[in-house]
Amino acid sequence: MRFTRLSAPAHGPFTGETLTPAPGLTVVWGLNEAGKSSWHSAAYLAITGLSRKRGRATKEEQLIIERRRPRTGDLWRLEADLVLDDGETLSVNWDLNQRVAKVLDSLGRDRANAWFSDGAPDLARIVGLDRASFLATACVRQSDLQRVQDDAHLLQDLLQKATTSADADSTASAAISIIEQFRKDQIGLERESSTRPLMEAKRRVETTSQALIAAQKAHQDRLHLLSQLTDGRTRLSERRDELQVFQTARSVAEARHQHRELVQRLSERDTLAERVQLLASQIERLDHREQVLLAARLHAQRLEVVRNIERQVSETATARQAAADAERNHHELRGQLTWLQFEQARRTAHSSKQRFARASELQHRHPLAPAHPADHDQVGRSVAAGPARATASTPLAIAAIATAIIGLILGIVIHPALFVLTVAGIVAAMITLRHRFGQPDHTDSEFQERLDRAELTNLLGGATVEDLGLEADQDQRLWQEQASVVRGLDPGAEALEAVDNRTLKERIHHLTGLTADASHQAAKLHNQIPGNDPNLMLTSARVNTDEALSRLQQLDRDAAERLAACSITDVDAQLSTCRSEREQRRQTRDQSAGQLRQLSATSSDGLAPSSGDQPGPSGDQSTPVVESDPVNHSAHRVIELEDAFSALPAQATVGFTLATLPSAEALSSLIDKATAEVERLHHQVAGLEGRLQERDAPGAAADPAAAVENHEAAIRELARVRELAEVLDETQSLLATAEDRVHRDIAPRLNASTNRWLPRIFGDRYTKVLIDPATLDVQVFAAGDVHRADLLSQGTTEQFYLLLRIALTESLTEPSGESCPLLLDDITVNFDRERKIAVLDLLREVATERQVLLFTMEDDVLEWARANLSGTDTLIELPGRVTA
Amino acid sequence: MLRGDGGGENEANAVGSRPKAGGDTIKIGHLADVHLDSAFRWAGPEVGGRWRRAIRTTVTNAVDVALAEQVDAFFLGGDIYEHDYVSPDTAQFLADTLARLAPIPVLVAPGNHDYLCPSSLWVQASWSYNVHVFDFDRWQPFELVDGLTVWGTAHGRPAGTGPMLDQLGIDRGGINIGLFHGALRSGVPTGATAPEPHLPFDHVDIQRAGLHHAFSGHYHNPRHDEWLTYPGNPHPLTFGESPGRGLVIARIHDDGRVEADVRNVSPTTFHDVTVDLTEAHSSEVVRERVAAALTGLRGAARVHLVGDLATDLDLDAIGLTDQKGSLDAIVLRSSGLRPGYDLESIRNEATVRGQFLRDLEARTDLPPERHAAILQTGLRALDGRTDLAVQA
Repeated sequence: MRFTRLSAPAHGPFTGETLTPAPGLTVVWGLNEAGKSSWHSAAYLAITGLSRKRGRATKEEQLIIERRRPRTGDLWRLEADLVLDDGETLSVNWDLNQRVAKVLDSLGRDRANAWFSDGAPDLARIVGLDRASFLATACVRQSDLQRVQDDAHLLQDLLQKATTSADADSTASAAISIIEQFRKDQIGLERESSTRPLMEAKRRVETTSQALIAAQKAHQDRLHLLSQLTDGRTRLSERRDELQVFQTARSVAEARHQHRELVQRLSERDTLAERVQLLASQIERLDHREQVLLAARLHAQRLEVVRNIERQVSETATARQAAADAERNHHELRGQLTWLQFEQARRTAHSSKQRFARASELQHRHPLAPAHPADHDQVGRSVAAGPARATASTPLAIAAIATAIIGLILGIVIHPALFVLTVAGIVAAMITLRHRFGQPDHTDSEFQERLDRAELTNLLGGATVEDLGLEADQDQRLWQEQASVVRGLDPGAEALEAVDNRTLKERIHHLTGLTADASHQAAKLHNQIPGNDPNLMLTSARVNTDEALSRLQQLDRDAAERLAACSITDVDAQLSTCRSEREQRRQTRDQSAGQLRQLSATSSDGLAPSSGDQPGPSGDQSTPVVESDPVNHSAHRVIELEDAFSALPAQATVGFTLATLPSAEALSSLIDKATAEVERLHHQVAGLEGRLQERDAPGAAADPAAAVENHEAAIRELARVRELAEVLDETQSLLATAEDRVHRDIAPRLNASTNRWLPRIFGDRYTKVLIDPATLDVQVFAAGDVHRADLLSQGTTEQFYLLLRIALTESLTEPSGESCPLLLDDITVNFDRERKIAVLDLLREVATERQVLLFTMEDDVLEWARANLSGTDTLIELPGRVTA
Repeated sequence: MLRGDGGGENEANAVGSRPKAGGDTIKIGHLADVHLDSAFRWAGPEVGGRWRRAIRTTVTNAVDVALAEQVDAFFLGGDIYEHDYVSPDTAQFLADTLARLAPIPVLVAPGNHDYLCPSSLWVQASWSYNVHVFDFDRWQPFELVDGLTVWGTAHGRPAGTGPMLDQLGIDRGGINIGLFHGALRSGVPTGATAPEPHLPFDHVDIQRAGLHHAFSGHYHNPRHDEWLTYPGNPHPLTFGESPGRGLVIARIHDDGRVEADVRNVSPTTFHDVTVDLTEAHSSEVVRERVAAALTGLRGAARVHLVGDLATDLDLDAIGLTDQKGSLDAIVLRSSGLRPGYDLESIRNEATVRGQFLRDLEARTDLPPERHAAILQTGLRALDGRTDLAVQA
């Protein structure tokens, strides 16, 4: 690409000037302010224009705008004709204020959009550069060279920038540093203490993961709770159904039982009612019978009165006769008694007299005092011994002794007199025996004496003989007194003679009692004789009896015939029996009535209370009234309940049927168990519902969906950060690889290009340039020494710098296949003449491959140009100084 | 028309015993794949919560439409809610909403996402008398009207429900309709899971079973043909869903033919919008272009940014996601953007940048999104820029 025309309709100081470069080297010479730099910038702007990039303009552009915008007028325009290496022509017309251009090809087509960068046409693209890299390589200004002194690493920086990107604003190393810094800020290290996005994202993922797990667990717990609740509700429902079955079954059983009871109770009640009625009837009859019996009793009483009065009449007569008889009997008895008492007195008097006589005899015979009591024993023994000695005595003696013993015993027991008589008999017997069997011997006399003394003692009985005499006298007097009494009475003495004393005494005693009784009886009978006349009372009583009988006959004529003959005792007995029976029946009736009432009261299924349960005032019993067909009602209820049971779905699971229904008691047990189970399940379900309600309370419920979204967002953020990290790593790696590759690629070419021109400028001074492909450091070899190029002298460094710019232009534009013009502004100012000529010669040689526009104010350059340029090279001398 | 003279009487009729009101057409509403309480994994919890509420509104709208259309029955073809995410009050919401349809029968065939189990909402909730939930692992008949029986079944597990249509023993004449949540083997949509664990079937199975038509759910892509109706998810669950989803209003003729219309009942729409940022050299222009593309949209928008992105624009700094307007959310996709560099020129550069591009382009193992991100990051870094964060 090369300029064939460059016009400046409005640029800097120009207002329509035109420059016509040669295809090779064009040296544009002028004085200061002749417009060299304006033309240099015009050439640059004609190729690159100005970018339309947003934001602040680059420093270079800002400088160009400040220096080259026309100072007058609104236009800033440039025009240029370009010829590409293939012969294509481009006519460029720039409006730099608008930063637009028309780039017309030979066919008149606008090709501006074919080469575009930063929003504006950029024809540097044709040679593989852009406006920035063009400015950094092919466009060399004096100010660029002046920077060599200010920047010790200018060459390296130049190379790095130039080899990094076309615009040469940055280096690959800087780009990598930017990425590293960005990674540090936006990713951070993967360690716990990091607070950068990567670890923050990981922590958030961990946090949200835990939250998600917790939410899912809470959700699963809730679902489990719901399952438990469903299970509990199902079991509760089943148990309730089962309970309902049991309850219905029990109702069936109870209804059946009640039905049976009802039927039975109805039967019982009918029976009871009949019984009550019967009892009432019986009671009524007994009441009537009582009335009859009371009437009969009254009649009997009246009749009894009559009989009593009649008996009283009779008894009065009898009493009078009895009293007379008793009186007479009394007199007779008194007479007998008197005789007996007389006889007794006589005998007593006689006895007393005999005792006194005997005692006197004995006293007389034995003046001694009566025997000591011991003598009695001795006498006894003597009496006993006597027979012993008379072993051969006759049985008479034995009989006498036996008789004596018996007589003694009897005498002692019965009467002392008998005792005395017995003793006397014994004595007499002893005497008889003595006289019969021999003379008493000496021993016999003593024995007799002792007997006598004993007898005396016995006769006295502790008294004296004189006492006995007095007693005999007294008894004699008494006997005489009695004799005077009995004088005139029936003697009967002869009959009494045979009576012994004891009998006599007994007869006296008996007669004394009889006499007293007769006296008492007589007195009593006298007292029993009524004072009034009972016959008068008898008449009145018989009237009353007739009235009572009439009343009885009124009540019951048949009974009257029977009862009229009954005694009051019989009537009372019958009355008692009647009342007892009635009372018994009343009790039975009341009991039955009570049962009947109880039956009615406890019945809720049809048995109505009956008025017949209570005896009416009249004792009438009514038939119990039962509600309309309670049996049918009950049976219907049983059927209804059985149907209800059969209709229950759960009845098929309980293990029994209507036919095998358990008893009500067994069902009650089942109901109790089922009720307890229902209660337990109800509480269990209520507890679960409470827990669920608590879990589902606003704010307490887990939100697994939100937790998932949170976690997913965290995962996405982590993935984004990781992806960014990988992008940065990949980018960094690619950049490092590209940098290395470019450096390794361009360094040899730069070395070759530079070394090719090195002798032309430096001769043998500097024989070789070596550009480090890793760092792009520029080193030069001089006489075996290696030097950093940017540490050489100002001019030498500028010369190396120029060579590198030309080499870079070659290298960077080579891939485009289009030659890139070099725009050089006052580059040789600091060169000595020898090297300046060498550089100019070199430029003329370079210009055979690409167009070179060299702007200069130096006279020796002008001189060189005038001497050397021709053909494809030319010298343009600017006229004077342009007006600012 | 079926309806017209039995509305008042129907209130007293128990579910399943409604007399046929007359006419020769039964009108039903069919809804499936609502996915109440679904998690929107690609959205945050705030937006997700908003859309979960919008799904409820979708159900409410569907019931409103069904009532307005005076349907004779309302079918729920499964996946009405998400068992794994169901919220405590969803049961009450559904119970209240479906009760509004009473006495119109609501027939429910739970799917693999709302399968029947003890903790299932279908078991737990106190449903109104008009709601009938089919049991799982067996077919149950439901005589909708005299001469029209609906045969339904349910999933009892989240996966593993095998083919069931061969077990359907239809024992009666008249019109027999199927209601189940199943996967049509021959119509597996792209990206859908394998049909086998989710009651798979073919068209021929419907015919062999003796059904006149099957109302189903599972696939979110709507479908209606002679034998089968999929209503699709009525509320969008993700971007890129085809239109024509919602509540199906179907007319079942007395010869078994079924005609269906789809009513959009979703309060929101997920939009896919493409915005070309070529020549947009300022953030203002970018914002203007995006705002213009989103004007009038409601719901959510996935904005695909395409074209050449000016090199000095930083999308993150522009804050496009804040530009929601009346939308609930904006999701940006910038993988279609090309960095505003002259890659052809750069590719020809003998520079590190050129080499970087050439090396990058030689990397065929990188996915396009990462390729673009690396390219933009590298070029920006080479430009000396620090705004390297780029969206894939």
